[in-house]
Amino acid sequence: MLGLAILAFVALLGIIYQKASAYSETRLLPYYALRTLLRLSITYIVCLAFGLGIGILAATKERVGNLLIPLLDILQSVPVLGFFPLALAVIISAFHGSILGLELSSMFLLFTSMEWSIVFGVIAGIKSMPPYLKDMSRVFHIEGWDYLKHILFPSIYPYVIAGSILAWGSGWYFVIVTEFINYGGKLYSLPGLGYYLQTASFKYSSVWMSLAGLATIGIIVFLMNRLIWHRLNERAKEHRFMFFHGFAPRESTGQGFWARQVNYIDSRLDAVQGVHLPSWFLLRFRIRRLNYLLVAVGLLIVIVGVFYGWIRLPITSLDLEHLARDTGYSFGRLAIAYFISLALAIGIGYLILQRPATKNAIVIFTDVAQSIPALAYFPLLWLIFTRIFPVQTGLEIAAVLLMLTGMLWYLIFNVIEAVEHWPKEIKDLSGIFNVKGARYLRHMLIPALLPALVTGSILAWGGGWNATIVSEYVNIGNKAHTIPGLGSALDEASQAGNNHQLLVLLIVMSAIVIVMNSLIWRRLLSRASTHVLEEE
Amino acid sequence: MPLIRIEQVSKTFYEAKGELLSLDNVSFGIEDTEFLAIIGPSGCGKSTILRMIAGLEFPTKGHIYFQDKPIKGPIPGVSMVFQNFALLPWKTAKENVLIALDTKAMSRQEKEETAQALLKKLGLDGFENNYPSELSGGMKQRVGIARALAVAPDVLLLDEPFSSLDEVTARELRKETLRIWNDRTAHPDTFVIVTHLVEEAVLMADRVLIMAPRPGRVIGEVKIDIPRPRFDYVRSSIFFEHVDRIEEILEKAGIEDIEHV
Repeated sequence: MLGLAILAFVALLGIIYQKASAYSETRLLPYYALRTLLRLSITYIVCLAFGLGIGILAATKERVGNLLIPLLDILQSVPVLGFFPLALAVIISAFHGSILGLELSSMFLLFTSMEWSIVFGVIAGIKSMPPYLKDMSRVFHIEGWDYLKHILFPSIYPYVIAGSILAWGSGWYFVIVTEFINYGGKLYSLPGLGYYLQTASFKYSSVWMSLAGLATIGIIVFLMNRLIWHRLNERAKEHRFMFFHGFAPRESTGQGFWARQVNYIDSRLDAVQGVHLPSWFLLRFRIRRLNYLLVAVGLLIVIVGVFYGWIRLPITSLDLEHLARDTGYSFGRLAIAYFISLALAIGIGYLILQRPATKNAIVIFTDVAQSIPALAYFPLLWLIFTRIFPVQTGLEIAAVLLMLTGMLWYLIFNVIEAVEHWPKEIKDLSGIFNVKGARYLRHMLIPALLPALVTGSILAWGGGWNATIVSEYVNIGNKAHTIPGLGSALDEASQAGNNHQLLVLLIVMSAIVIVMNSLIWRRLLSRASTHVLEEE
Repeated sequence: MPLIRIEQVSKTFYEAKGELLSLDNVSFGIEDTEFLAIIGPSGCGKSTILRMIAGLEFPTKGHIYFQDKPIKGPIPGVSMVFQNFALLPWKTAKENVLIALDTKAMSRQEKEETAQALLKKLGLDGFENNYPSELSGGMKQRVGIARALAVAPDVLLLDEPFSSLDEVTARELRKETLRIWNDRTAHPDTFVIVTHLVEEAVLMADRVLIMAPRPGRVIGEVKIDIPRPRFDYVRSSIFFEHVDRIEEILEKAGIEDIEHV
């Protein structure tokens, strides 16, 4: 049965590659894959070095940390894709349009998407080191490099691995768009899988070629997860302090192929959610709001100062009416995508609780689906929807779907994790008192899932805003298809090389994210912290 | 002159809710080769005193001297056994002991031999290469003790060392600890144990210091005049007389149940 499935899969791959080989770019696919992988690897190494340095500084020097953590937090919540045209403008002009400049600007964007989970992993790891470990090191005079090597690095190892898994996830997501850029009326491209995928859709409109690109990404991501992250993650388990909450090894689900898959995915979930997210959010929560305000204002002054003082942007009048309309459209689309994601996540939580047998299938499906970066199949979605519907409608649907894929996984993974640690007593309670249907949702499921939903929502909206930039605007040949929104406004500004408008849009988008974080999510997070169920 | 002098020590912790006077004007001395127990309910500052002797914390007021020199940080002459063992899960039993010897001026060979000998002394022969996750609670604390002895200290501090072990294992380790203290051919000879078990204090110590919380202070001192080895006397009236004397002092201070305050 299993052998048959694998055979069918291999055959399907064969057909896809066979059909795609009609296009000359397909022969270069291994080379493209290598280039993309190299780009990601170099950026990852830089991220790791930077993350360790800054993370250790922020976590060990309290005064520095009180300003550094809000700074990192604001930078990570800003939609990174919006920075891209500006980074291009600066770096490309500095390198006179050479390929090195392009590579550097691509890596800069990747860096801004990969760095945060590593640096926050390092900080969270150091902050959650058991305090007696520091005492022990001091009593036995373990200092300097010895302290880093024997105590600190091994302690934070599981957190760094969890952060790295997340970093590679967002790296794969963004690398697609960094390889094919339209700026100031010029088209820049870097050889890579993203370039291949975009060529497939927008140059040849070939579904087979798109599928070949997608399959290649899927295979690479799968192999990397299996050969690298899974092993490092297994080793990380030995590094965890045993009495630490939630670190008890899971019971094996059994033998056989599918059981092993579930075990494997469970251990990844453990790494990413169990270790990383809760401590990360609690950490940010402890820092006072005033520090955030100070850092945000400081950052704004620096950015505006640089652009108006140093680069000398002309100050033009703003079209506020347009800005408000665009914001409304993008926000509306995101809200639709968010509520669909929320409903799906809660539904999945409900299903797993009611029918535990479905868990394995759901976990495997979500893991496979999530490992293919959403941006990779946008060109394909676009191809399909514009064939079925009128172009404008097709674009709308494709845009909302892409935003959905940018938001969905954060919510689903957090919910699955919460449901896994669902205390038996709560289950018994609903049975004994016959709490069912809407009452069950309102009084039991949703309140109990609140911590997971809030944590997931913060990440989901961050991912969603990033997705607006790539989902509201498509450029095919010389013809641009747009739907109104903040994302397409950003794209148009970068096409036209209008740095002033870019800057304003970027600040607006960042301000929305920051205001939502502090007005909605911070409050919900403090309420959610009283909802955390203890598992005995 | 006592080996360690605690002179009019006060400690204030500054917290979000306000100041907390953890220790209020505490003075006492610890003699060379003495086995001292500090007993009291949680929050009486007994662990804080121990951490100060270790050089991990400093008094807000007053001074602490070791061999007439003020304690300014962790010193090689003072070693410690931790309540939660404080073992590194990524290192084997032997590596956990070796890490204490890292900065010592010894050859690699000497370090290995020292660690090996100590593990053997603590009854861990054959478990040198096991990771903490493969050891029982009692064995983990044996590694903790071996590590503390590795630096050949003058003073051994024990911070509720047996409280996370079951009673049978704890009893074995108390015996082991007394054997090490009794052995005058090897260091350390001066032991300070922090505990909330009256019987444990009477069994092990020459002298018991009794503390009370809010603010942390010394409310009494009982000399234990029971011949050693004490295990021969644990059921005799002389043992219970000592226990009663400590309990009386605690009751007079309004501490009914030392373990649950």
